Amino acid sequence: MAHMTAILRQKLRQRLQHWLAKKFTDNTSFQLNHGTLLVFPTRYGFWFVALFVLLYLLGTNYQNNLILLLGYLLLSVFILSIWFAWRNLAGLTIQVSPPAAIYAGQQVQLPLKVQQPAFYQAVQFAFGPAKIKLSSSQQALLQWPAAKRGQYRIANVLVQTEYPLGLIRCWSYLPLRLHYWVYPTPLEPSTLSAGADAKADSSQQSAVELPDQLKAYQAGDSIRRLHWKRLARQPDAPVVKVSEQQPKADPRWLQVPPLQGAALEQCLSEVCYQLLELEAKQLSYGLRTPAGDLPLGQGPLHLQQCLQRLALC
Amino acid sequence: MLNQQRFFQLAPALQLLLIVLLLPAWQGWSLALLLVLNAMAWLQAYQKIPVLSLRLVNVIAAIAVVILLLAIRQLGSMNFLMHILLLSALLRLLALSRQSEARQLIWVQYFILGCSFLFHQSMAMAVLIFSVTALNLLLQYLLFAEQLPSRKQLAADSRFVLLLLPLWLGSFLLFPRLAPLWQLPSAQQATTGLANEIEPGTIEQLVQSNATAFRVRFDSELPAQAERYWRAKVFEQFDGRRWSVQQNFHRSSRVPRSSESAELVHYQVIAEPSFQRAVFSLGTPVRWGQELEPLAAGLLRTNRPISQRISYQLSSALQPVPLTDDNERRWNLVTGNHNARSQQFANELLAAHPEPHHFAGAVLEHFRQHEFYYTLNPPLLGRHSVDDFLFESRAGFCSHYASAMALLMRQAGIPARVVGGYLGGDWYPEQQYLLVRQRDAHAWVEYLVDDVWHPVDPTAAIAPERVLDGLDSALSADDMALLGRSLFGEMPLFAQLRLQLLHLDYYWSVWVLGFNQQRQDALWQSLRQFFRHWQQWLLAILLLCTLLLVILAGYRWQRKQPPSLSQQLIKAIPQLSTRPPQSSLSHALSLLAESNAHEQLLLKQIAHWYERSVFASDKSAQQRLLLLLQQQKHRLKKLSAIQQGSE
Repeated sequence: MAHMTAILRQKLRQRLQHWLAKKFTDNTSFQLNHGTLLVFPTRYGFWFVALFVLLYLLGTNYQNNLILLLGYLLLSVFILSIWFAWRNLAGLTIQVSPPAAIYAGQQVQLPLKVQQPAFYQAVQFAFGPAKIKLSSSQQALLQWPAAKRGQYRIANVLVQTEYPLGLIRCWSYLPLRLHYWVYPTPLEPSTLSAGADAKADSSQQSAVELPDQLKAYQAGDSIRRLHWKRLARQPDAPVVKVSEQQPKADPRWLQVPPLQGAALEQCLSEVCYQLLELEAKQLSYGLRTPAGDLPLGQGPLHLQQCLQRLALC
Repeated sequence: MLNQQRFFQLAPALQLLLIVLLLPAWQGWSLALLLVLNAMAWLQAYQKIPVLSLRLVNVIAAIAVVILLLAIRQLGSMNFLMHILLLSALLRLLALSRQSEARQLIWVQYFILGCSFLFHQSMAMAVLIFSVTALNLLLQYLLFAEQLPSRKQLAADSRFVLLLLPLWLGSFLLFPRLAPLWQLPSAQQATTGLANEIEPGTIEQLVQSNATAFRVRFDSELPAQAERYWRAKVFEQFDGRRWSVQQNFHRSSRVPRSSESAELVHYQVIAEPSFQRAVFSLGTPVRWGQELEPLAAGLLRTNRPISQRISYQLSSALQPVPLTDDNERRWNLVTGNHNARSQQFANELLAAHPEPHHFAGAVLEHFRQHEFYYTLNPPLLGRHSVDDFLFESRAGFCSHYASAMALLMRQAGIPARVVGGYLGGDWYPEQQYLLVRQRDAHAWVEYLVDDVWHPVDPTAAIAPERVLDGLDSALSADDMALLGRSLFGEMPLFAQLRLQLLHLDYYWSVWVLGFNQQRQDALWQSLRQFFRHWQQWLLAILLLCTLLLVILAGYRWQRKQPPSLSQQLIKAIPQLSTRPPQSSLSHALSLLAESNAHEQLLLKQIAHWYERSVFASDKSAQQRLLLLLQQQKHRLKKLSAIQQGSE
């Protein structure tokens, strides 16, 4: 039974949201007026009407005009509060900006800006579990914690008020079509995995055979940097690879192997950290994921693309 | 919540007011309990004690309900319900921790306020109760609002709050009314007015009270002073000292029929709550409404005890009441075993005047001639009260005389009874109503001759001023002092004020409390008459439209945006409007400064404040700019325009 009512209410809500979406003309700046506001008594409002009925019966049975007068007073207050609830929201223009991308574990912040604040108060904004109440302020932030990474969609934000007496609810759904990204939390890679990744890196590096800078072996050079293949061919002229001194020209590839579950999350977090580091050092980087590769690049836009790819992994 | 602290400080105050309003319902011990709980709520408001847990509150509630159930017989069902209601409200406040609980509390408090109207209907109390309702509304507002509205908002809102009045009064006047659907328990309180027994001393006590007993509006001519005998109770049983109403007085009887030639008096009685069912009537009632039912001896009674101010309409013939039950003859001849000397005296008198009317006249003559006094403070009488009165003290109040006369007539073989009620009252010719107070209480005699009960008032023989002018003129100065009529009450200004309040109270009773089904039907009728003609329809619609337009216009005007800063600047310096199209205001100001070398400093200042307020969002700079523009108006007007052609 409760399940059925929940489903019915869900359906009704979706219907209303759909209907309201058609009424709003502008996609970024939402004007609340008689065409876009809904008004209905709250549950407490219905109790109030029940109180009026009780008082009416009491006054009738005792033939007491003063009890009837009190009942009519409460009924008039109920009717008048319809007007006041509506007036609290009417005329407001709400602008919603897309929320900035954040990392998992942080709070998503949805900036709201209310224009024409001609004395309003106690207006609630809600999206999912996040709620705030505004009174006469121009700007506010609706925030909620982002637990998991990914791309999320904000469909409808509820704007409602029960001012002044909690009897009548005036509300609307703002049809936002916004997306926001939650990137994996950057985690500093531990040495073990760093080794593993480094190995992967170097193997990638050798596999690619980038144009090498070679020089003759001198005492004191690291043995690891010996070009072993050439040594096999020319045993008495060891050649050492020299790493690129200019940071910009040395690309680093980051890979996300096809893992599952916690291991995947761990890997993604570490890759994210490394991406941020590389970007901070102004090195160029590329990303290899099971879903596809991102070519080398550098800069905030490239970073964003990489992070987004990570979020979707 | 707006201001939690304020809510928790106002709520106990409101509950204390509720306790005071329902004072008639409490017993001593229950009042103490309620006050203790209220004191705990006060302590909570100032954080002296914490919020009580729900379990503790439930335990207290259970104990209280058990005690109340044990005392339910003493309380009566209505008072029991009041106890339950107020206890739940008090305990709810003590355990309040969530907003939903606060809502329930406010709901219950509204209901309690409605019930308090069962105990008080006067105008002053109605004003008080509506003020407490406003306080409850404020509490509800505190629960759902976030700020107190600013002055501007209050001014704008007050226009719409005024809409409340026509909505409220209109629904009261026009909403359909129903007859009572079912019986509900009424409040139990001590009865006021004449009791069911009368003995030497009762009426003297009743007369000490200045309280209103009832008011009367006459739809026909006002009867003469001597005819305003209001019958309330008929006392037929006598035990030597005390007269009392018969046990089976509610016997249904033949409805007395008046002769067609009699003139009828039509009147409406507005009775104060007396918690009895006695109805005050003149003469022989002939027609009455359905809220009354007939009793014996030409009396009527209400369906339920009068626990609140009600009004009923009657038509009476100013005639002696006829015999309604043959047994009345027998019942009203019982003389008892006392008062032997009176019996002897009665026999003597009967021998001299065998005819009943003459006998009555002779008794009155006896009173007149043998130095009988009319006083509020007569000597005490013993078991043979009539003997003592007739032959020893010879001083008494109306009940002494009535008692003596009725007994003498019974002893002479003439059925007689004592009638208790009210005599006279204050007539206010401007307001057209008669005010009868408890101090107009009176007792007189009726005796049976030819199947008709003839009234006779022995007081008329002793103190005719009582009948003609009212009690004050019949009493001596000592007695007046006894009644406590002090100089203070007689000060003209104070007396005038009291009188005006009295009249106001009367209008309140008639218009507000007395608005019933008939009145509403009459209102609908007159409205229908009014709207019969199309011109009046048109007028009404036009009026409504203009009203709406006025409200809308005011609303629009309120919402208009104030001019922006740049607009204000251009308004103050009109020369700026001729600036080249692409230049900003700052640039235009500098151009203007170039053209007006002598005002450069001023213009530079203006430009500086303007830039600060626009680009640095400096509110103080904006205020300074506006002030500067205001002060230097005359200098700015004299500026010459921007020279065209300068870049």
